[in-house]
Amino acid sequence: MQAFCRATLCLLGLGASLHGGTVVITSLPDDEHPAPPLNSLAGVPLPLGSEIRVGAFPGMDGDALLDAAATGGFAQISSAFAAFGEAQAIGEGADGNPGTFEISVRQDTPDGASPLVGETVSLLIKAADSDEFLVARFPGIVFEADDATGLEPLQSLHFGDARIVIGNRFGDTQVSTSSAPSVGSFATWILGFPAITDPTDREPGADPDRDGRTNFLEYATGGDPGSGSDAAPFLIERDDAHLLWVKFPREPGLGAIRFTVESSAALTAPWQALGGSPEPDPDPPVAGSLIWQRMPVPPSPEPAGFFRLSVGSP
Amino acid sequence: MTRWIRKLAIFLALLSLPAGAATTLPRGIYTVKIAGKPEGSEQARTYLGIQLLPDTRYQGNVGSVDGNAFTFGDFTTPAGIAEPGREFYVHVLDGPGRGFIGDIAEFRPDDILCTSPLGDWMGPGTRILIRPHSTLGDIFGADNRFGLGSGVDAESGDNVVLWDPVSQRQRVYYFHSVRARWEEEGIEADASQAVVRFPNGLYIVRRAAGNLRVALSGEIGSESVLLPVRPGANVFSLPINLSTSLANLIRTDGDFPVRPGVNANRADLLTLEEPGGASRGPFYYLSRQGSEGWREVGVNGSDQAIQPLDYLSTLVLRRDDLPGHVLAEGSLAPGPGFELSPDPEPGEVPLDGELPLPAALPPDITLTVETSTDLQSWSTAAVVVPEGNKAIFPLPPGQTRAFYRLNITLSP
Repeated sequence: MQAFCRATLCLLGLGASLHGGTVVITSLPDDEHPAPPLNSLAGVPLPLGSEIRVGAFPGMDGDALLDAAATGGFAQISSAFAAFGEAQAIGEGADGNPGTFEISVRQDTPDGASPLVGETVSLLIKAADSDEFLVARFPGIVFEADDATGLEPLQSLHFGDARIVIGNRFGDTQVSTSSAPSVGSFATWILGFPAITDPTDREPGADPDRDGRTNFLEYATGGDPGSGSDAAPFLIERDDAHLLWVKFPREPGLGAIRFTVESSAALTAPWQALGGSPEPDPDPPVAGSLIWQRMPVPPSPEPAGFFRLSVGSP
Repeated sequence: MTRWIRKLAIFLALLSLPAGAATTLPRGIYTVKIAGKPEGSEQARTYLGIQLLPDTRYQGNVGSVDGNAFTFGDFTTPAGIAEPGREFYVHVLDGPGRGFIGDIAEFRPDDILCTSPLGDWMGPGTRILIRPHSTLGDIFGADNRFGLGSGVDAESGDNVVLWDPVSQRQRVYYFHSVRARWEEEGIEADASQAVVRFPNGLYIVRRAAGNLRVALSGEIGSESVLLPVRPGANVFSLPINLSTSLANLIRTDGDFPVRPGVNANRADLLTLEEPGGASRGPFYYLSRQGSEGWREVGVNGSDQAIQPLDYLSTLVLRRDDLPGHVLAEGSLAPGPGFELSPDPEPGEVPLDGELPLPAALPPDITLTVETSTDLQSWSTAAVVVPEGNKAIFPLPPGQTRAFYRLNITLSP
């Protein structure tokens, strides 16, 4: 190449490319993420215009988020949220389909100046037509500080890999927004029962009221760990069309908890998970703040069938 | 016939030949603004594609291929191409391996040894060319001719950054203000011969305020290129395509398509960085049945993939899984070109362009520099006199993406 004799210094006006990072998140399904649309509690895809924010909750773990939501609802969660980039909306990047999204957000994250650096990438989704919301986090995925000379970081994520912190799970893949949880973390909830004084009785697997339900099952299904007389958390009912349904209640908003209905022909192993996802129960057996979900009892050639509810968190 | 006339006759024979006049093959000269750091910011970043290339040293056909080595199909002596201290590559121009770039390890007496097996990419009769890789000194001058900010270490000067896709790390260069030479960060040695390995791109991190203007020049690199994609991030220069748009540049079919996906998480993600600071994308190629096509992530109905781009755009391609190749198509066919505003700035110091003269010329000729932005319509830029073995002429103010040639006519 040839030499160019005279260098020059220009003093004004060029659109400078600032260093920044990008986060791409999709909810569009693929072979590893069946990912049905994100629903509202009513079981319909979240409407267009529902807001999606990417960001983080600096210094807060899942328990702290649950406690904040139980105490102050969406307002408190929102105030604890540090946003990354501009707000997006359900339907964006997904041909305007309700309940789905594929978004790209970009922002500078200068080291030492951004509260996001080192924090877990999170989503805060707010329903457009109700008070429902959802908080999800991507375990192990954190915002990186801008490297002065490194390539701009880009995280490409799938919503199906997120851990739902506040929201509702229906089976393995179906997720919905939720009203603010009425209980916080398990640790906070169990302290709300001062009559249980023995620390070992406060463990998730303990059963201080000897009703056969562990503390964690009581926590998830709205029970009382100090009372053996609260209502059953798992029912089989016949509807007006004479179809049989298994039903169970859950505290709203405890998004990390998975409820699995299992069946067996003879009350012995193997217990197998019922196929399909639970759905909102339009005719809950008990009125109140708990969410009732149901699954149809599948037809079977066996003369008898037995069902049980398994509750756990990853 | 005098000695001058004989030389001119030889020269004219090498060129296009209207009677009594000739034009040289066009070369590209781009003037590019390098953004200064904005107020309140630590730095500004400008991506530079390298699509104006060092002169071709060989163009012809392959004679034979054996493992990592090949021979020429003519009588050219391979060892005659070698230059001490320079690294070269072979570029496949046709056949199934069209676009493949292979690094040359050694010019041996009878053949050329490359760094990787060649059998999948070329065979007897395949058309190839050989060029040296550009160096830092080629592009920015061993003397830092464009005045990038110098410093006593990398953090105090402007940086030229080469992204290494293998290590997924950057290599940072700066002009040492005391030793007056290019050095790599943390290495006290002259780095002016650091190789900008084609088709990789580079970016400049400018820590000083005030925009700079640099000029890039060289052969017009419009040959299609098989971009060697590594897992992670890749920074690629793109071949010149006068109809530059993402859809025109990047193949989505054939043997070397971009990796498609049913969503952004499953596909190659492509971002286009224009020297002027615009960043387009990320894009991906959606493979969902019934709705195949380029998508801009997060934008319903976006047509950005078919919009004209600055020729000099740099492609940042990110892939999560296995390595492979993606074919980027060059083209000199006229198309809806990108309209770049020159945007000259007050106080701008002029830059000069240079075109080489392939032979000594007699004094009684008229030497005209012609310029074009589409290689179709040419206009006179300057009438010049030879200075040694080159013609020097003023470049237009502001930023340009233009092609130049010399028109040589015998004075009556």
